[in-house]
Amino acid sequence: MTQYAALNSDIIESGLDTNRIGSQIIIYKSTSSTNDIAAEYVRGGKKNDGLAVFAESQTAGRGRRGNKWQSGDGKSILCSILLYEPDIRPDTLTIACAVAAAESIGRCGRNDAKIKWPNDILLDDKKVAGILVEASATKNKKKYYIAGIGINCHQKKEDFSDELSRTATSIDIQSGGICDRNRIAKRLLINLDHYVTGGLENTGEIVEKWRSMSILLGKRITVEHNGRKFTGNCIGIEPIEGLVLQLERGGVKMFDAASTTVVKIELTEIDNG
Amino acid sequence: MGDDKKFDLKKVKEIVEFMLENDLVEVEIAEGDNKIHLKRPGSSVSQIPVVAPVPAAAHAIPVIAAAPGQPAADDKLVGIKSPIVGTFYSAPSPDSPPYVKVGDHVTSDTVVCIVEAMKVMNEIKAEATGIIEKIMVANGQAVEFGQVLFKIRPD
Repeated sequence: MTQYAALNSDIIESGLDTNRIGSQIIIYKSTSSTNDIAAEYVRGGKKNDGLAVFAESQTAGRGRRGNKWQSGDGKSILCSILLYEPDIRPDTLTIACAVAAAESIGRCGRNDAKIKWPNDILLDDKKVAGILVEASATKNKKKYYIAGIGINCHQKKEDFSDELSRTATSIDIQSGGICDRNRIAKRLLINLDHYVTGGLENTGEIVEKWRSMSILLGKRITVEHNGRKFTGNCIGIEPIEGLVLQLERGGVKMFDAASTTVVKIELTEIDNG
Repeated sequence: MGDDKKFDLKKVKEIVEFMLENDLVEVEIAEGDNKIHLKRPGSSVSQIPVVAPVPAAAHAIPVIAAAPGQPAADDKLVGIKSPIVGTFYSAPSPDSPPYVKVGDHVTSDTVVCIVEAMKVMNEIKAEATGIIEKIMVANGQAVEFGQVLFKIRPD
């Protein structure tokens, strides 16, 4: 088995010129969930704002709707970031994380990471990273968010089950090389810092970038919403309101992220002309 | 022995009062085989005196009782050892309550502390099932490979 370079807080911190994100960097060898560790630091209040917790392996990583995030030892970037009293909406943070992660991955030899609404990052139409933002408040009503970001880095095809390998991939599989996790982790913090530090004023830039990376716009897709399937052309995509579909059976409908799953994307682009 | 103890405590009280009245900071009294040494913080600010009985002979003045429980059963305790050299942290964050405290029941998968080595946090699991009986190290203390961190009484 190849021994990959370990995450190293000295390397990640070196020259890390961020305003907020990465104010503290903590690396765990293994933990149940980096989000849980970040949640412990909420007790420390404002001083722990921007904390980034990484883990080499995670035993109970969470995905959207309680899906388990698969993570082998030292092969992923598993990171949780604590924002204490944030000045953006949690859904804006989700897309900021998606854009920041996609940009970090994309610059690793490729520049073509895409975002699948709402929180998946794809390379060549396969999932390479995921985002999960948990918004909560302390007993004395201080808001905080914990953004969990998982990026598949060194996994090989055989690390995924047959079923999973149809939809999941890693940076190494897609690039054919071995990526530098410390560099990607550092970029992730720098990129996210850029979007988060701007707060509400940056929302426009975040949304614009996010739209430009989104794979769904202009595609014919099928979604499942509250147990029913809908097929149509994706004519709009809003970070907060959701997907806008021109339904095949007529009419335009909005689908919110919380209760919608994209079940099928057709590869051919629709000619809207 | 019991009578001696009562006598001694009464005596200590009297001496303390005597010290306070006369603004004394240190007193040593020898009585047969027993010796009492009392000391107050240097200044004349009247604080609770520090009582430090000094045993002069084999049968000393009974001091504050040792840890409760039967010391004879100590050999039944199992140690949770540090697998690495590093720094011991009792809680997941500086502001969090400790993972475990004395009297807590743990199973083999319970995380009991973290040991930080080379800037990496290592969660340490109990690896045994039982009650935490003793915590052998302080938060932030450097620990050696194989050093006993906790003692647990197995179920």
